[in-house]
Amino acid sequence: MTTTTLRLAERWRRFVYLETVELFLDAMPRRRRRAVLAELRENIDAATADVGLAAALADLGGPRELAARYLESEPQDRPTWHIGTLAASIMFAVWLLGTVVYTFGMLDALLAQSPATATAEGSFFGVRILVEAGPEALGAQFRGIAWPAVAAMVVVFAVFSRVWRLLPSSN
Amino acid sequence: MENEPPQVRDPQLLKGVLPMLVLALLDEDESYGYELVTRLHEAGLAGVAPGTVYPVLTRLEREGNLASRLVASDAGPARKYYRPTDTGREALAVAGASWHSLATVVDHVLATPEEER
Repeated sequence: MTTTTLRLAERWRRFVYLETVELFLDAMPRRRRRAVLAELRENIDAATADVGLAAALADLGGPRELAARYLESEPQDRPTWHIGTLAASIMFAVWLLGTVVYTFGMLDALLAQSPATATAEGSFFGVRILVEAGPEALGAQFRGIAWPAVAAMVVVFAVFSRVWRLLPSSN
Repeated sequence: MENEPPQVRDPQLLKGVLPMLVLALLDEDESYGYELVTRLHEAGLAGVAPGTVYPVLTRLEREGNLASRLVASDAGPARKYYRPTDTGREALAVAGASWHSLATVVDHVLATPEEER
């Protein structure tokens, strides 16, 4: 039985080729990209056994062009869930930061107005905020759900995920 | 004199029919990627490169039109052999019928002088 053993230089060349293809497959989902690259490597190895690595890679053409052909054959217009999740997370973080800043502002105002312990009530995007501040107590209570913020996050998630791509195409 | 198949050189023309040709050849006999490229060359598609065929194989397998299995090889690593699934055979039948319809129309248009159409 004969086997094809690649020299170190050939292994390096194959590695560089596959890495370059992967670079240009960036638009492909990671799991799918790994499957495509694994299959490409199998095909390269099989071709190498038949005609050698140099010819096998030369027949494939440039890594960029090959990656473009793989991208062409992938389903287009899929929702971008990861981008939608990222955008909604950023919005949640901004809302959270805003709530904290608003609460600290209420506490600061209370402490500045009265030397004795006092309470105040406010609202931020639908959440009722009850603060207590004084020499012996400092705290805040939050009640309710920030429906405007939740609605905004859902909209941002839907827009950045491009959920309309789930709808059947008219083509 | 050996009867050689005609050569197809138009890449755009080929692009549309390559999946059908791949399914047809694999329906005759299963092949691994590079062997399939060689068979396409022998069939007259000398300009078809592995870099064009491999993405088609990947797509057809993803769509469920092809199944694959690894077969140990005496000359190197195990090879991935592809063959059409039942879905793939149905797709081949549909594509073949569409191709014959189109070819009939094209042949008719090319054979008939314009004033007689």
